[in-house]
Amino acid sequence: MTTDRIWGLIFIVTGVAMAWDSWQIPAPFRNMGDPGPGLLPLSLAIAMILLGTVLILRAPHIQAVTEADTPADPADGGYETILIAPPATLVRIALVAVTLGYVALFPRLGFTIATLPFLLLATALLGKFDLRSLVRAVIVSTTATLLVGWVLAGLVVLPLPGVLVWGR
Amino acid sequence: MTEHFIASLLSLLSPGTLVMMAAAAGIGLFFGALPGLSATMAVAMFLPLTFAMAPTLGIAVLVAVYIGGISGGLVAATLLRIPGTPSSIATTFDAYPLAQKGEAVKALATGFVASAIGGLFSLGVLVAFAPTLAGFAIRFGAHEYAALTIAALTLVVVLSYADLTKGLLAAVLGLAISTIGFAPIGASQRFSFGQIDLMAGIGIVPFMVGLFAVSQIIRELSAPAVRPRKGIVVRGTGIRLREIRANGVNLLRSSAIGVGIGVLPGIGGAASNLVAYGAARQASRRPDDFGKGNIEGIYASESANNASIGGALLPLITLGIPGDGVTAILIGGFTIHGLQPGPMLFTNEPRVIATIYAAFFLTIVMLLIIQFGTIRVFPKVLQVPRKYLMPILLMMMVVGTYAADNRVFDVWLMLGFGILGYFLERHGFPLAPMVLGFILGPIFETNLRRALMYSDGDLTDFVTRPVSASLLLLALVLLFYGLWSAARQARGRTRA
Repeated sequence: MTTDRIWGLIFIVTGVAMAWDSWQIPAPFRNMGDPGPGLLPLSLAIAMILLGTVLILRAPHIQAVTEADTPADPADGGYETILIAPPATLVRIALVAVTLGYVALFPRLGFTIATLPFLLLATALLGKFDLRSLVRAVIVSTTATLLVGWVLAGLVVLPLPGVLVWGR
Repeated sequence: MTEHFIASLLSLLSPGTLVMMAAAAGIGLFFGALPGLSATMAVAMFLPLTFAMAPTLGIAVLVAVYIGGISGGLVAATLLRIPGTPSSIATTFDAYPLAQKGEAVKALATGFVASAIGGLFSLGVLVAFAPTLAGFAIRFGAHEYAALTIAALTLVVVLSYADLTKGLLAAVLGLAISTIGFAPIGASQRFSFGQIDLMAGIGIVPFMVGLFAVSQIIRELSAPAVRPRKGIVVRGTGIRLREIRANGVNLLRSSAIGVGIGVLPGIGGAASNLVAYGAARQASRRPDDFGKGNIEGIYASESANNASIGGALLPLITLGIPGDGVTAILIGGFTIHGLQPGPMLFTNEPRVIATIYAAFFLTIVMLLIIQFGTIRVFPKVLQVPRKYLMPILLMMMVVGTYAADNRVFDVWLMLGFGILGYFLERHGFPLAPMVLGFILGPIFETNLRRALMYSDGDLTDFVTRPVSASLLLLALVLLFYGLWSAARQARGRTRA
C-alpha cells in the first residue's frame, strides 16, 4: 500500500468520525435560516471522505516537490559546502525524551531550573562527548538560559514561571 | 493618515522600540540567511513573544521580523548558492557567480540596495492603494466575505501547488481543525469531547509554531544539513551610484512584478523573483551575461522579492484575507492583540495601519544599516553549529507557546502539530493551504451563517449579488483549471 493510500484511509476514517459527530450537533436557530453549527463540519467531513477516496483510487502520483523537499546538492557546481549527517537514531530518541521531559517539568520547575538542564543535555547529545565540547555546552547553555530569561521576563515582560534574573 | 504616520514613526523612534525592532529585523535576517530556517518560522516563533507588548509595538516587531526574514535569504544565495528562502532562488543565478569572481561585497551590496528599493516601492503602492481597496471592501457584506474566503482558498490551492487533491485535503484539514471548540454563532460545542482544554478551541500560537517551526526542527534533525566547508571571507569592492541609475527601469519593472505577484494569494516572493529575473533577462541588452554574475539579475530578483511583501500585505490589511503562510501568521499577531484586519481597521484603528507603514519604512532603513554595517561579519552566521542552534530554537518554541496562554496543554498541542506538519509535508501535503484554512475557517463560517440568516436560508443570494457571484465564479474557474491541469499531468504520466 502506498503512503498516499494510507493517508487516503486516514482521511476517510477521520471524515466518517467527523460526519457522525457533526450530525449530532443541534441547530438552535434553524427557524431563522441558519443551517446551524453542524453544517461546516459535516461539509468538511464529506469533502474529506471524497478527497480521501480520490487519493486511494488514483494512480500512484509523483510526489509534489515542496519547498522543504527541495534538496541542495553540494556536489553540483563546486559548492563550498559540506553535508553534515543527521544525528543517530538513538540520539534522536534521547532528544525527543529530553524535550518531552522539559515540557512536562517546565510549569513545575519554572523557566530557569527546567531550561538549563534541557539545553545542556540537548547540546551535549547533538555534539561530541569529550571534555572540551561538554565545557562549551555548559557555557552556551548557561549563557543562553540567563540571557533569554532576562530578555523574556525583564525586557519583553512575558509572564513566565520561575525566571531567575539578577537584581530581581 | 499622514499625521498618524508621523506620530507612529515618532513613537517607533524611541530608543527602546528601535532596539526591539532592530533586534527583530536582525533575527529575521538570521532566520532568512540560514538554509533550513525561514521567514515564516521566524514570524511564527516571534508571535507569542509579542503577546506582552503594546499592540502597535507587537505588530511593528512582527513586520520587522517578516521583512528581515525575506531580506536575509540573499546571504546564503550569494555565498553558498543555496537560497536561504525560496524568495532568493533567482538571486543565486548571478550573485553566486559574481561572488566567485571575488566580488562578494558587490554581490551582497547590490542585493541589499535592490531589496531596499523593492521594499520602498511596495510600501508606496501599499500606501496609495490600500485605502481605495479598503473603501471598496467596506461595502462587502456577509455574502461577499464568505465568497471571498472560498476564492482565496481556491487560489492558494490551485495556483501554488502541483497536487490539487493534496492541496484541497490540506485546506479541508485546516478548516476542520478550526471548527474545534465553540461555534462562532450560538457557541455550541464541537469536537471537544468534554475536554476543558479543547473547549476554547485550538489556539493560533500552538498551531502555527507547531506546523512551521517544530516541523522544521524535526526535518533539520532528520536530514543532512548543509554548511560552509571553510571559514567565510567576504571580499571585493562595493557598488556604484551609476549602476543603480543604469538599473532604474529594471528596478521599477521588477518591483512592479513583485507587488503584482505578491498580491495574489499563494504565490508571493517565491515566484516573483523568478518572473522578474526572466523579464530582466528578456529586456537586457546583454542577456548572454545572465547567469555569469550580471548585476541586473541581482537587482531584478532582490527588488521583486522584497516588493512582494507590500503586495502580500495589501489583501491582509484591507480585506483581512492572508495570501500565504507568513501573512496568515501575521493575522494571528493581529488577533492576539485584539485587532481584526480588514476594511474596518482603516476606520476604527488608523493608528495601527499607520504603524504598519511606519514599521515597514523603518525596518527597510534599519536593515540597510545593519546589512552594510555587518557585510563582512554577518555571513558568519551561516557557520552557527546545529548542536547549539536547534536546542535554543526548541526552547524558544516551548517558552513562547507556554507564555501565550500559560497552558502546558498548548505546548503538547504544538508538539503534536509539529509531528503532523512534518509527516504531511514529507508526503507532499502543502502546509500553506492548511494554515489558510485554519485562519479563514471562522471568517467563512461566521459570514456564511450570517448571510443565510439575512436571506432566510436562501442560497441564491450568493449568485445574485455581483461581487459574491464574481468571486464564486473565479473560484469555480480556478477549480476547473486545477482539475484540467491535474488531468493533463496524469495523461502525461500515463504516456511516459
